[in-house]
Amino acid sequence: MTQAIFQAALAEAERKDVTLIARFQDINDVFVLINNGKTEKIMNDQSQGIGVQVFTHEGYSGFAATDNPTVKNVREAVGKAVQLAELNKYFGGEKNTALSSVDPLVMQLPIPQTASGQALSLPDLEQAVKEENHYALQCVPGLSVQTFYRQISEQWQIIRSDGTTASFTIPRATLVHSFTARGGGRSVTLRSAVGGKDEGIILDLLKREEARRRGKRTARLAVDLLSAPPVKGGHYKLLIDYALAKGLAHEAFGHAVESDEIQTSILGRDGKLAIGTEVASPAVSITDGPLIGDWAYQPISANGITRDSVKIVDKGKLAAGLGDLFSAAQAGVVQSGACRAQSYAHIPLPRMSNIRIEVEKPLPLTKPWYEFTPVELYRLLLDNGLISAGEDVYYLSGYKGGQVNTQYGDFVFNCAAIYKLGEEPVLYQPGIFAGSTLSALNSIRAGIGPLVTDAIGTCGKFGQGVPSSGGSHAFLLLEASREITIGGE
Amino acid sequence: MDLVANLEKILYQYQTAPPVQDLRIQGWRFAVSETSQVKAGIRNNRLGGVYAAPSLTGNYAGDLLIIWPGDYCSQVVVNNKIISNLEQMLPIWKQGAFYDPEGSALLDPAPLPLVAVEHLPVRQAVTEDPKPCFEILARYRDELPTWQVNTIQAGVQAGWGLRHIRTSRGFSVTYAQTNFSTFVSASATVAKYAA
Repeated sequence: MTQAIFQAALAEAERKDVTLIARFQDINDVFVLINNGKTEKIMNDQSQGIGVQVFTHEGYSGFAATDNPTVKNVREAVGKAVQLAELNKYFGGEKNTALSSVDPLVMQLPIPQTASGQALSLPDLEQAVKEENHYALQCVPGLSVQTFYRQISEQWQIIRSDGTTASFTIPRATLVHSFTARGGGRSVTLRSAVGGKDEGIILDLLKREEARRRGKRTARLAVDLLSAPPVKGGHYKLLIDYALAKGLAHEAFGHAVESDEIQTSILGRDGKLAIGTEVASPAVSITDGPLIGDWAYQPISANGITRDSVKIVDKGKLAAGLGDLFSAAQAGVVQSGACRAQSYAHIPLPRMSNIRIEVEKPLPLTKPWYEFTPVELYRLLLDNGLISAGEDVYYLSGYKGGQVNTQYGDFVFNCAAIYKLGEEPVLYQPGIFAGSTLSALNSIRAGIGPLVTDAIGTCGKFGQGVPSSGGSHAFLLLEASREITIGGE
Repeated sequence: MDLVANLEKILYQYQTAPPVQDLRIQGWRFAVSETSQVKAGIRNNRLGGVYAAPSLTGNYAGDLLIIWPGDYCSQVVVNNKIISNLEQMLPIWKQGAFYDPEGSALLDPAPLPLVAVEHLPVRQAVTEDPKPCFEILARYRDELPTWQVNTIQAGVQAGWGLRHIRTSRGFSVTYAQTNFSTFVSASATVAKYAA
């Protein structure tokens, strides 16, 4: 059926003398919400549709989409897209002829196997999520715990007039606990999330155990924060965890190298990415690219081009951008298939997938990162000569969103908690972590622990939500800088 | 068959003579919108570029409440695919039903006030000629630079559609509605390279 629809789209495009990219998407979305042991919602949504983007010979484009992909409707969609492309020309719209510069791709990637070999029934899934909620409730008595599990399977098929036919499936799943502690007239809510490709995140014993330990750590922190004082604002040596590092890499750096952003980016010069510029210490590199089994996995771009992993910063120097077919050349970067769309009904944009900061010769850890207490982290830094006794060092834990201005390179992030490290660490209320992107990168002095790349989120660039992920070593140490501030009293 | 008529027909069937007794429905209500939307924009001073290409999208979307015997409810999102596969979805929804004795309030047929929520020029921009959307953008692009503006981001969106509300107690209304919005962001500064 899909083939007949695609053939109709191609034939109509040929008849109207335009070239075309068509994207068919089919989604199955399962959601289970348990609140303090009680099932509040079980949902199984399905949706599908097709979007067609046409290009005239001169390069004017128009787009149309329908959620009822029939031969008749897709022909009409092509006709509407052509009408819009012609209006675009009439009003002096922007032309882009890059589509003719790319080779066709024929690639059908197999549908990944699920962890259990077959999809779990909804009652079985509900039971599994209830068990996790029950465990989370037992972690620290007296807390309110909301647990949701979401499992999505997106099937994509992309065709182009040049003969490209690409298909792939993106499976992803997440389990999120939201712990709320109340006391002394205050309330604190913290989230603990794990992501992956399927229900393996709760069925696999090792993964489940890790998720439980991480949840327990978060639950304890929520209680401790009830009585924590506010931090004194200032410029300090900082230890940040990989979730905050992902936020820094994604928001403050990744967006600034997307090929449609270079014109106004702090990392651009005369409209081109300033490749070769020193932006960090020679020990620091930043990579973006899809990882199999990851929350933000996408092997083929929404324009039907294989997605490459890109070393954005290589040994401290800006080396590459995230290049999409339609803007890579203009931005002076290599086309790397870096284009994604929220759905068939959205126009794709250059986007990150999994972005991570790597530091050479990281300090090894003797146990999982989430088992380190603040005092153990302090001793680790001290014993390895990364800090001196009595030095003010603040540990920022967890990422709770933020904003960045890629024109000026300013960022403001929120963390979940702040500790002043020492033999007797002091916990403070979360504060803002703000500063200059380039100063933050230049301040990275050490990576601690293995790469942890499962910090997950949803990137909302231009109103389109796509899964994002990334991380760094379990912890990064940043030297104090006048241009990096912890906000507080 | 029209999707809304199909949805009503199947719900009535499972209410009065279900093919599977276990899936008998006690009551239901839905509100479904059938929407078309035109969008066009300016990114970094350029109208209609490949990342802000003018677009027309159409979809069905809405909410359906099913009340099962024993005061169990299913509150679900419906769309074109789900309505087309409704009979396959009913057992799944019943699996996920929740107990809600307060969830059974369904509207009876009633006279309704006439409130116009459709604006003809917007409807025409969506269903016939989207040129007015482009004219607004062209004004932003052509006039703002005379105010020493360097960078313009802008958008226009116009929507038209039918909203269908039905209940198992006979309430039935369909009305046309439009929506329109535009934004413009003008910056007088440009990024300079700095390291």
